Amino acid sequence: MPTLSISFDGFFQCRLATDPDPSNEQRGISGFTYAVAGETLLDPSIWSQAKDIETAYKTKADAFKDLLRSNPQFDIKNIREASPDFATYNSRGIGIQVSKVEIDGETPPGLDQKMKGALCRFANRPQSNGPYKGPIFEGRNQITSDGDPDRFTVNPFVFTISTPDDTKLILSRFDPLDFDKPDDQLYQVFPNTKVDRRLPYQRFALSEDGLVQIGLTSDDLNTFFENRMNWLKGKIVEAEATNKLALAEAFRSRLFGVNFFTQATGPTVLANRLLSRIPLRQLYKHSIRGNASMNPLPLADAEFFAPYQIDSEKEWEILYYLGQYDGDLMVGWCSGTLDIPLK
Amino acid sequence: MSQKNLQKIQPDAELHQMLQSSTGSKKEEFIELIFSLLKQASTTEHLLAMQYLFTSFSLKKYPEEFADYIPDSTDPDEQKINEIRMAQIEKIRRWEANILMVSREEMTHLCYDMNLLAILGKDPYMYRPNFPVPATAFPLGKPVNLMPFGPVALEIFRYWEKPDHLPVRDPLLAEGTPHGLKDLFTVPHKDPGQFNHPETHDEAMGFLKQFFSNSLNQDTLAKIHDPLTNGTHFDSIEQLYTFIRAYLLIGLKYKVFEGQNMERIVDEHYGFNIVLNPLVIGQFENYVEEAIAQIIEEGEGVWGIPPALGSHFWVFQTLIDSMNKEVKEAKESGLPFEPALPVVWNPTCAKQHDRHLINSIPNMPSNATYPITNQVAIEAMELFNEAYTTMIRMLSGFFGHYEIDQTTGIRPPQVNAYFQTAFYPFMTNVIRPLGEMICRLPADENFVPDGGKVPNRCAGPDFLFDISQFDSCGIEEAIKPYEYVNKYLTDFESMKQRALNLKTQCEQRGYHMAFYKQDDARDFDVSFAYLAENFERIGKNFAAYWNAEMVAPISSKGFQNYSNNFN
Repeated sequence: MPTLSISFDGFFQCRLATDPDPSNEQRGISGFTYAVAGETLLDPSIWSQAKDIETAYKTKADAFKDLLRSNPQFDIKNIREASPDFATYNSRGIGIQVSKVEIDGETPPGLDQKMKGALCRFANRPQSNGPYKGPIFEGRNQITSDGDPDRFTVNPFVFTISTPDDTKLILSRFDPLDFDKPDDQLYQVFPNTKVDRRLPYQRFALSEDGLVQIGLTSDDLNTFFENRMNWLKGKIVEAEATNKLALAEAFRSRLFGVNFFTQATGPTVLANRLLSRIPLRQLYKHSIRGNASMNPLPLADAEFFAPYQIDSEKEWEILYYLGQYDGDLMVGWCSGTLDIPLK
Repeated sequence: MSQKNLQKIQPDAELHQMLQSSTGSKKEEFIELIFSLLKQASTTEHLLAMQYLFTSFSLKKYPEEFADYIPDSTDPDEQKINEIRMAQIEKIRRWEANILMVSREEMTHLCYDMNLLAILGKDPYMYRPNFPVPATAFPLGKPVNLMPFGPVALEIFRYWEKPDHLPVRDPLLAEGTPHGLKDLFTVPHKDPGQFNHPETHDEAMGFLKQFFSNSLNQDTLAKIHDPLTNGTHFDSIEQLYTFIRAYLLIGLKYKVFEGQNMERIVDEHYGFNIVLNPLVIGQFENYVEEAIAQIIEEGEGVWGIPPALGSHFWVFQTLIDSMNKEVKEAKESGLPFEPALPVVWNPTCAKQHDRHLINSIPNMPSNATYPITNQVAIEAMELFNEAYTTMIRMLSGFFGHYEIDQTTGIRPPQVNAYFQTAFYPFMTNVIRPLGEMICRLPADENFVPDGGKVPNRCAGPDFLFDISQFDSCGIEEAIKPYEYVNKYLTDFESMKQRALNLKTQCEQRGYHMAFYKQDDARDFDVSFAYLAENFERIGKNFAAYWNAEMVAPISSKGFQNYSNNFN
């Protein structure tokens, strides 16, 4: 039975509150993630595409727009710019896209061409989620996670792919946490063994591969947040010079957060929490097994994939890395492969 | 490590002789003396940590909490005000982050005190009197109030944390102390003198000689053993810890007590800065020295050393400077600046008179506490107090029974249940969000909601132990861990039901938080429902830990973990 392998990568956004802030903190006080002036409240939703963020939150008010921004994406509310050294992020922006398509290791020319740049999403399923716009990382301060940093599942799990112009959904499948109770939220799923298959399979605290994918090496780590702080200091001066008071204070809060959470010897164990997450990535590997008995139904656009026939009866397999999380920008890097059996 | 060489413990010949020849009962009395000193130290750290928490909860978080902030206004003048308010909210956030950090460090100091009690062979002591605490009962000579953020709170905090020799002004002179509460400042403000460690150390040794020769008068002993009723013997934290250090080291040196309970020494991190070496067998003296040095240096930077950057004194001085600058700019712009919600001082939901010490002391102001009358706020405060007292029981259980396999990192099931519940998530996901919500609820029953408009007077969590302050058996009972898991589970279920009830009451009364119209805002109803979900799941987790059915909520296998540098 041949297998269609769809590879994808890109930056995602997740503006979740971080320990020791409460998990439903919406401004960010003692954790390392903040919603600053000009942005909406913190929310643990995972955003796979910049255009979805724009649809939900529109663009920044004029008082928070930066005329010198390096990418038009940074006009969208909640999307922050990095210092110029993080060029891969600044040029690419947020968006997970298909990078490669293979069938049993061979490139299918027509399909590969059609699918390159297709938009991948971790999509929402409101009936098994809280009051959030997207799927979430949910630890609830160690109520549903064990306190290992970042060791969360993406939940609800609905993986979708749309055409590169986003006019048509071509693939979608839901994976329930509890097959017998697909509408249960994560906090209701107990005992925890049911969650294990969806948790990170491996963790790499210092992943050179992950760093390379975002245009960095481990040598860059020493100066990564120093550069950010210097750039933020410059942005504060720019904002003050143009009399944008709130924007200047927003940059100051970012600077405060970066400074506080990257100190080599900080006043608390919270020091270094920003830096530790840049080289970290975690590997997830599980099946996607939603079937016709639960919404959303498995979807594979027969016309789009013709002449190949997707088998939605069998489970699909997905392997993906999440990591390289930048707590100042509140974005991370995702890369992976979706394996789908063909009939 | 302390930067200062402290006095070596070398009793003179007379004291040496007394210690050598002391009887078993006198040794027991000496242990009780140290126990009382450590209880006073624990009480002090506990009071300060809760006081700082209250003040941080009272801070505004959203621009809508300024009455003149008009969201989405297109009027240029209003837009200008909006921008100023958004800028101020950013500053306030950074102030709060600093206060919360200091509060966490006070909790660390409390943890060290629990470790010192373990070495002494005593149970943990997690009690503190209800607020306000009279000036006479507190080693810093000022009353301990629950206060909203403002000049008075900041000047008092700076006063708590200042090096003894520094002549900061009397915080009573700061603007904003409510009428009547000034009467709580019953101890005259003292002119500072350079703290003299050798002299205080000698004083401690002299005191001990009197103790062993039975020449201490009863009033003095009463102050040591029951400072809340009789007033404290001490003028400063440094003095108190100088006595504790000297007596613990003498006790160990002269085998008045063997260092014990090595396995009870807690050094795990759970959001605090626990860095001391846990392997203290045979090194109890070193542990005592280092623990006390860290407490003092993080706090006051004392014993003759200038306050370090990052010390609590430095933090509060920086906040005062920043606040003064903001107030000055506000005056110049003609736009009033009030960074705190209108939270009342010393709110209380107590129904009985004897819940507050000051009610039993003559000449204390009758309005030092503010009885909350709003029924939703009272219900929320009672939920807070139920959560807080359950947390205290769990912490007592944790510190009292702590042990960990140093090789595998596995704790006994009940200790694990406490560990996985009392810190994260209880402190972070119950106490804090609930405290912040109470500060946004009205204090008075006659409040009429107007959208999300901030009430004229807001309630606040009172951290109330609902027991008579003079009932020593009741106090002992209130801080004792439960023996059986079902008691905890009953508490969690009760808290869940209260949270659901609060959700309904807020919906019925039309109560909203000021920011409720913002995108994604989680208002009272959603937040209380979330709290109820958390209590439900905490209960399931707690039972599974207690019964050894679960080591952590989810298993961690085969992971490349962070190195220390990156953790």
